[in-house]
Amino acid sequence: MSEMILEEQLIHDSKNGDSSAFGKLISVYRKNLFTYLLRMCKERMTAEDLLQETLIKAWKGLKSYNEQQKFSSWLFTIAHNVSIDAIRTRRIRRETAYLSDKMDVASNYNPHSELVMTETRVSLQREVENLPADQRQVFLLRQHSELSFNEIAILMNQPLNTVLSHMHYAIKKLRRCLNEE
Amino acid sequence: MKNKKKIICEEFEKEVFLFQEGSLPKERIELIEYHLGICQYCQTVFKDLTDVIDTYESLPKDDVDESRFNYMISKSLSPDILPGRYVQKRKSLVEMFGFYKLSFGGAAVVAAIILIIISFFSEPGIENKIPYELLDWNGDKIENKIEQIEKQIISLKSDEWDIYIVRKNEKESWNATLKNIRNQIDKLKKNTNNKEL
Repeated sequence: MSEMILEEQLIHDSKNGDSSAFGKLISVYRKNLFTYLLRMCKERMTAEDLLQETLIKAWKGLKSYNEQQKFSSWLFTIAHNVSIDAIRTRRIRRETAYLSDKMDVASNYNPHSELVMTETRVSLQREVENLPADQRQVFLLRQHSELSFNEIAILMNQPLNTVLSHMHYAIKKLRRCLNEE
Repeated sequence: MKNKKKIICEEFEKEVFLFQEGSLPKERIELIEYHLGICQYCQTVFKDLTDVIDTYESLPKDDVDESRFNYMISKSLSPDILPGRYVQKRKSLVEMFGFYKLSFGGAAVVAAIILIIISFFSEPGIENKIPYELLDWNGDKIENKIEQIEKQIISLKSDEWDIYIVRKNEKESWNATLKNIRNQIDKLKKNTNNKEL
């Protein structure tokens, strides 16, 4: 069964209340979704909170999901709105302890992967996290979601040219960072 | 020719991202591909973009622990979990405030509503206190009337004594009305902190 058909089947089953299908469906995007959220908010625990919120909203809103749209785009739209809401209401850096009684909290980065990453990659990641909000949003959405620039423009409620200009400046800064290394 | 090339380079800088995602029209893509083959500047622009993206894509992706992810999924499916403030179970008002606080608060709200209703019916608004003449006040009208009567009195002939008495009484009556209204206006101004009526 091709990936596309499998995804359609999982969406169909999830809509009918099959929780294991929902788990499988989300698993495909788990890493991308979590990386996106982590680089948006810069804190692991907050990113986990945002992921939880995204999952809740995705499950509750699944019935209204229109199959004409790509599932990944729909999911990242939710994740983006959740992260923007959190930034706007200054939730980030606050109240991150709701799961601490249940789970052990992991450190921010895996030490093994830290070692593997070259100096350049580390600084690139930092540079991405330090980009101005609009540039970071456009860059991360483009990299992690399957949204086109047009869709990003609609999601961010900004003209396409503005979105392209954010991307242009983001790439310029990141390129400079690569040259410095 | 040189200028035309420069224009294409400027346009390419704007379109490079759309070119990379493949959302430009076919003819445009063909033109850009041809231009890329001959323009070193645009080759650098495109290489800068692909270098950044390739390096970024080579970064290891972050992940949540498998068991934690499963826990999150099961939390999301729970019917008493609502979106907002990350994860929060809907609490009843009694749970949120406690029975005594809720009763006291409820009683206070009811008392406030009763007080508002009583004050609404017992204390008429400032507009209700203003006499009808004041609401329709036009001082000039009365002053003109008095002036008119004065003119009529002056123009009376000596044998029109009875008309003179009538006019004089009328004039005094208007003067009294004018004085009365002015007094009321002064009073109202005092009551309303000298705001203009």
